[in-house]
Amino acid sequence: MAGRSERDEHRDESASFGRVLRSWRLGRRDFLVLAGSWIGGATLAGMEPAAEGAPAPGGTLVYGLGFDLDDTMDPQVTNFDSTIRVTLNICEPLVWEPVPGRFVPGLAESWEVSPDAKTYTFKLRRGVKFHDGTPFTAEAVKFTMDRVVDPATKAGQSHDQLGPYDRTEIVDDHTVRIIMKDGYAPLLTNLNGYLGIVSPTAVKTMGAAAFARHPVGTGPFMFKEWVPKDHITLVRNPEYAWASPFFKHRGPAYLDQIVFKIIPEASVRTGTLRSGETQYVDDIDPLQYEALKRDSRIVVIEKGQPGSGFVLLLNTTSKGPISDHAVRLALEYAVDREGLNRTVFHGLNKVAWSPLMRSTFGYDPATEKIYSFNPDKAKQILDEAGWKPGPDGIRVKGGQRLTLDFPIIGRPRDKAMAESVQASARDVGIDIKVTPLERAAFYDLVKQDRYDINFMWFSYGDPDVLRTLFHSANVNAFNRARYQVPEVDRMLAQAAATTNRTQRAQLYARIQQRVLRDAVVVPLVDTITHNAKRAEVQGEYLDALASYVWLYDVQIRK
Amino acid sequence: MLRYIAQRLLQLVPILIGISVLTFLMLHLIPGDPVILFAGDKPLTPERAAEIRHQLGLDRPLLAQYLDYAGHLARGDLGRTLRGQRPVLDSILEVFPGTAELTLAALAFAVVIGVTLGIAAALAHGTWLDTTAMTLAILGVSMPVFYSSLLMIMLFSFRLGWLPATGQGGLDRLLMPAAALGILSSAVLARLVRSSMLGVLRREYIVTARAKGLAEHVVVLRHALKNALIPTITMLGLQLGALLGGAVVTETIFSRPGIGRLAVDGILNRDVPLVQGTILVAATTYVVVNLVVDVLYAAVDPRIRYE
Repeated sequence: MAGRSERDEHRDESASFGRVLRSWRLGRRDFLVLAGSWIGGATLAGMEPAAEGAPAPGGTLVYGLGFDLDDTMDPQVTNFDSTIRVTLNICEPLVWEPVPGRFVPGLAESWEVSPDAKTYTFKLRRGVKFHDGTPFTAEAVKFTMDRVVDPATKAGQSHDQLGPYDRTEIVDDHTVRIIMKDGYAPLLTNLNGYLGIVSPTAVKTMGAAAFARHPVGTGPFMFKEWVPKDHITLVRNPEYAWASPFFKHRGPAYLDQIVFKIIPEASVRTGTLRSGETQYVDDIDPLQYEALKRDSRIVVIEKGQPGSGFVLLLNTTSKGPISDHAVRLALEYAVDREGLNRTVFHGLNKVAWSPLMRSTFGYDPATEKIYSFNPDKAKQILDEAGWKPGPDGIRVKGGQRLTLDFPIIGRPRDKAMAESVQASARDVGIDIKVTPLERAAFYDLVKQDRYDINFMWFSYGDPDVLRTLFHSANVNAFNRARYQVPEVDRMLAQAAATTNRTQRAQLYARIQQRVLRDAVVVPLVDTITHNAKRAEVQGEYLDALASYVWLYDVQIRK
Repeated sequence: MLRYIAQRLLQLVPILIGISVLTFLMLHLIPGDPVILFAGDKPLTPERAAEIRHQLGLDRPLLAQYLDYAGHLARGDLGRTLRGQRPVLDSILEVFPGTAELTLAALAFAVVIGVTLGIAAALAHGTWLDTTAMTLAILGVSMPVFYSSLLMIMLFSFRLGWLPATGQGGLDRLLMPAAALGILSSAVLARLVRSSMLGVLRREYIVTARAKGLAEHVVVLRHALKNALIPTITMLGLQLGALLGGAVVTETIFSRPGIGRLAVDGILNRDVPLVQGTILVAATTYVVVNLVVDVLYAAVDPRIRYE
């Protein structure tokens, strides 16, 4: 479920796309190299210098959450990133991912991945205790992973994230082996969120429904209170002594408590930051962006999301004109991405030329040179292919009108984007029929293969997102271009089942180039997270997915 | 009077059955396959779809499904939410007081402002006061709730810093949302009170009252207003429906927990049992409130109960 944020609506979208964050995994050698660079010095881009003088522990951080939780705080059951933004403080992951493709120890001190990406062996940290006092051991890891595939859990996103999971083997109390049925490079990324480790004792004694209202993990904060539709309060875990070496301090968190206040209306949420009712908010109101940038009391946090941004997928199996390569090519040149970004997103996203967003590992900058906004070229391509303008300006060929069906889910943002694309296409003589539909009716239409164009957006930690979009096995899922090319299938499978970074990057570059040249995808914009905080808040860290905010190091300067 | 109340209570039964039929059918009337709603948007194998269909009992005849549903309702079981697996009734009861507090406060605001403006306008008929009051009323009727809400927040929270913009609890957090929500109803009431006051003030018993030498405030409040309020009471019941509807917007903008937001989030999350439950409770509340209004009406106007 793509759950990120961007305006609240994304979240809604997220529900539909099933976010599967992924990334590649590292071998031990890679990890040692990383450990040196990460653990040694806090040289991470974007990290702030440590606060001067003695730390000022204590205080409450009020975090304005733009989207509500989906009625559960169980990380394995939820479908929403907003839920994980809260639970990641309670149920810690085995590994953290600060930057796409880079992993640092969490509950696992070190790990090793087999070259075929099927076997993951984790050495677990010792002396770790759950909030209920029970010790954290290999058994808890096995319990957490096993409950994801247990139908009784009714797992949400975690089920997709765990991929082709086979089983977990307990090697000893502090060593655990997670085994996949097929090579699955994205597992490490996916551990960072929906696969947060839960206390087996708590789940068993409380029961799943009660646990969902009161999660128990090993994190630096413990659950205190949840007033639905209003707020969630977490308090500091005084026992906490197992912070990742990635963080800047050891021992318990600085903050006494965190209050996650649910403020759905973007303008109000952003306003509360300026009035001081909140100290951190996610998904700011784009209209207040300029004012916030000018306000010295406020810091705006911007970070590109990994995965696949907003794209159009063009149905190659349609009986209409879209199956003509020339028509698809013309669309690549015809769409005014800059204009779309300006009118729909107030210019806050970034024009895209690849189905992978720039922050994703394996993004190929060479894709930026393949197409450009060039309506004349689009017209020329159509002319040469025999599509001549008819009396109303819409092109015709052999009695067939150049009309394309573009069903969408009837949401304001989707409508605005679709209308922008429609206007661009009209300028070169292509008639796009945009039909806003109820969600279920939309899925019916997609299932029956009755469309020419489809939107897609898929926030994801790993370039393996391309498999979701372009592998022939996913024709009835998210491969809405219904693209079926054996060579691309082969490259996608190969890239997912290797641990060699260079080889992976090369494969993904070829795949990006190939799908663009086949003109089955029209990239529109890369999405960028825009959060904001009061300047006195220091030490928070926005993770690799530009979604989860790590609050362990946070101090509020007086 | 008791007989009248008993009679009205009996009439509730078919209405409640009707509501339950409609909420039940909701699941089947929305476009698309309900199984997709329950499964989420993940691609489904036909076997899995059949399994879910069976689990939910959707493969049984419609009447059997309804009787099952109604049976559960009768026992106070509104089902469980899809994701959290909590009883729907718990989720609703948790937020219901918030909505009740908000709508009642809005109603109180509407009555105080509306009745005062209406009387003033009627007494000062044709003067500048009348014109001003009615202009305000037109403004109130025309202003969308989300707009007045945002304006108030911008002014009183972000510019002046007098009132908190979000949350629930305490008079300071109730004032703005109640006023924002109540504005529309107060405008409607002001216009209604003015016109019925004008009608009543021309009646002969008012002339008689004045001729008896009664003080003007006694004439206005006891003789005129009491009679002018009869149509207003009916309007109050109807306005409560509008307030419940407006609560959706107000609760969202002011970040208040409430049944309106619960329903909207339920719709966004495609949590059908939750949406059915909130609609059922909201509709029942509306019907019950209107029953109370009708009884009040009968108490104020004896002609009603003898008809």
